[in-house]
Amino acid sequence: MDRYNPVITGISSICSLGHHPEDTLERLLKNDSNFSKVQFKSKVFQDRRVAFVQDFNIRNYIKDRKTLRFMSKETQLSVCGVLLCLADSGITVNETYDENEIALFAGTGSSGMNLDDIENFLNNTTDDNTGLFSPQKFGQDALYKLNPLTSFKILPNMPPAVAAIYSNIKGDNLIFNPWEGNALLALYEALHEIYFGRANIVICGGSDCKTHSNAFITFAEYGLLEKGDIVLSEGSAYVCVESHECAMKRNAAPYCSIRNITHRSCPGPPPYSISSSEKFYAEIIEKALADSGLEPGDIDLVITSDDVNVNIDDAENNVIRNTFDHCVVLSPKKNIGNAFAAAGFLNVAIAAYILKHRLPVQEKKIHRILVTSFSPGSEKFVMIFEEL
Amino acid sequence: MRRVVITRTGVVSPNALCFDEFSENLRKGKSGLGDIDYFNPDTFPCRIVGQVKNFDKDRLRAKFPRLRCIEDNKVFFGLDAFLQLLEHRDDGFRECPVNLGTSLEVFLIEKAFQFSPYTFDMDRYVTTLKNGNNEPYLQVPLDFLGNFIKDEFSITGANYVNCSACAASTQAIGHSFHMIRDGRYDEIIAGGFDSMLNPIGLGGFSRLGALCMDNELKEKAIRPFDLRRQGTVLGEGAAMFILKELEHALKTDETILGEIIGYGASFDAYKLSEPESDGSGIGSSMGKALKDAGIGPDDVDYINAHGTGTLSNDKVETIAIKRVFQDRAYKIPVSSTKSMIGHLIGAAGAVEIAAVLAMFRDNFIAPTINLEKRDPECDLDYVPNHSRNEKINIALKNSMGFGGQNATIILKRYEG
Repeated sequence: MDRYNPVITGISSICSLGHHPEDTLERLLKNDSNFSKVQFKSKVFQDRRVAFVQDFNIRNYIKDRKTLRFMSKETQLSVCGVLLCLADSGITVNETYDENEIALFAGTGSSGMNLDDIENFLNNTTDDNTGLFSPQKFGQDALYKLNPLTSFKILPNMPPAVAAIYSNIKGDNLIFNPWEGNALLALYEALHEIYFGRANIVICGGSDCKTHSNAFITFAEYGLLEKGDIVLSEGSAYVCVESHECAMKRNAAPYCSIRNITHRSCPGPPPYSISSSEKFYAEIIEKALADSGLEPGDIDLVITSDDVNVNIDDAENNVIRNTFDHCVVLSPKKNIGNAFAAAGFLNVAIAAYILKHRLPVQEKKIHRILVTSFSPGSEKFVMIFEEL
Repeated sequence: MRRVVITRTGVVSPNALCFDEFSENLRKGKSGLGDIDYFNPDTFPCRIVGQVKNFDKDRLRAKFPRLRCIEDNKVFFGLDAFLQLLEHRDDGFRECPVNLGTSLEVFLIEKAFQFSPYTFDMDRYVTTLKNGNNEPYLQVPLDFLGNFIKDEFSITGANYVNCSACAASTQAIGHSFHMIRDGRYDEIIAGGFDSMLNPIGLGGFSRLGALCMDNELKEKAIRPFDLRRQGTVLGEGAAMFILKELEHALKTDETILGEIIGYGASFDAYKLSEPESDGSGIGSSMGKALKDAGIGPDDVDYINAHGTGTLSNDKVETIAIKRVFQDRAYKIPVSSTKSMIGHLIGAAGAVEIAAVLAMFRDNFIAPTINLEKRDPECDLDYVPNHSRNEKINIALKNSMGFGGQNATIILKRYEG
């Protein structure tokens, strides 16, 4: 991966601990969290915790009230994520780079439809005698009430596509769905795009919103909520990845370099694939270290995908404990919740911020960070970032 | 430079259930459109669709009992297209990635009210789930099919799920082409699968104003490039391909259906539901694909258009083709195979790429059917109504998605 020595030159992170990486990290290191109860009516889920992005007002970023009507919360978060990332990287579209040269690779989440939005509409669709769904009733009494813009709220390509409109990005694009690892494929492919010379700059990231009722129903159905007290969350994070040469040419101040990304696909049945094999996780970490020419002792900080309260994480924790015995370990989901498609990029943004600002973590100087992404979903990653 | 070829394809479309039948029906200009019969659509403003008929879902359920948790038709179409890849030989591709395009999760509204009659109540619904009634899924995650195929057939590669709306499967195939050409893989399973032919999908699209509402037109409801076009028709289906590096394909002595030589993608960054009026978005995508292929406008001898039959799409795509190909635009046959199968959304690009491969293999150019009254603003050669017995060598395939995502693939006849 070091042929073009890709670097991160801009970051954004919007999550339950703040709208900027510095806020998030400060509160994270203080072990702060911002969990609350669900906002939809439910006795079944009334004790579940969620992590909302606080004080988020899209109108601070987009003034046009009309266009906001077709944006889901995830889309709003994504639009802001891309705008903040571009601003942070010091890039002005069509000045720093031509609009057609900037690529946007992103990941988005599943179950985007907020049932609260369509509940009244849904309840006009049942047969008077059976109470079951009636297509005839739907067509007659409900369909005309359906907001024509609803489709734009639920299509999973919309968060990055709308972000492209608001940031005037016209280059190559890829959008992946639905889990944390699938979203991180955006970063993996961005590096290859740069490595093979098809792009010099890729804005890549993820967004997700799992705080609404539909996410709870879907995850309950998959059996994910039974795995522990998982804190569903929302947010977005983007990073600007550039070839080192281009970043230097425009006098950018990179956050860090990307030393290695190792990817493996996990066997296991759908709907989500989880491996409880410590061997599987250990092998990915070993490969990432070996490919980078590093030893475990060269890593100063491990940022894990660990969900703390979810028992699927035992394998990951055991492997990290066994591999990095003197290393500082940070598990951001413990404080910011699990924002799935955004979660991996939130951890990448945190790593980049620590490295750029040479922030000590638990009084230890950090020069090199290993980030794991072993969360639900078939695609697993180990990423190594280092200071410049 | 490594060359990338397509060695196998599986197709499920509204006018055919396999590649051979698909090719034959495209040549005949046979439409697969008609009334939807999944549910009673009498009260729906739009009832004409491209439904896959005579598809045996129960056969797949019997073969794969784990699919009992699935109602979403697109998963079955995708799986069937994949199984067609294995029909003649089942070897190789155990370590290759799966890269599939699709659009969005279907919300199984019938199940919602089955568990919670009259008024949807999430607590009642979830309590019923907890009593063991958790099948089928209310919503199936988009990575389900890829993971199912991987798990069932012991494939260990990555599962890429491209969700770029109507450009999704063209992107998935183009992205796979780059991955093989770059030397990252020797073979990839790529394609697309989709179905939005359910009450919410059909209803939602009709509210968007994108569909032709004149149900009396029957199979003529979609009329790409015709002056009287009123909108598109929703279709469903899937197409899967084995993409291989050429030397690798030759070693296994497989029939080569075509070669992919270029790919490009772009954003309009304009509006969500309509393309930029000057055609610059899809024009940029075509330009990138030509550059990527190392060819010029004079080398292309067929264009498979996105050609949805909506007022703005057909006009803008025509403008974009003229913008890229200049005077030569008038000499290149351009057809919309959607005129026969409707708009397959996330699967559209994949099935239309299968159409191009059929044209390569069987030496014809598929027509744009229902094109009776010429639109002065759509003045190219759209191969109206009848196929042509012509041999094409290089074909360009366009896809344009909601949200302004564009993708173009360039395919070449493989001559050995």
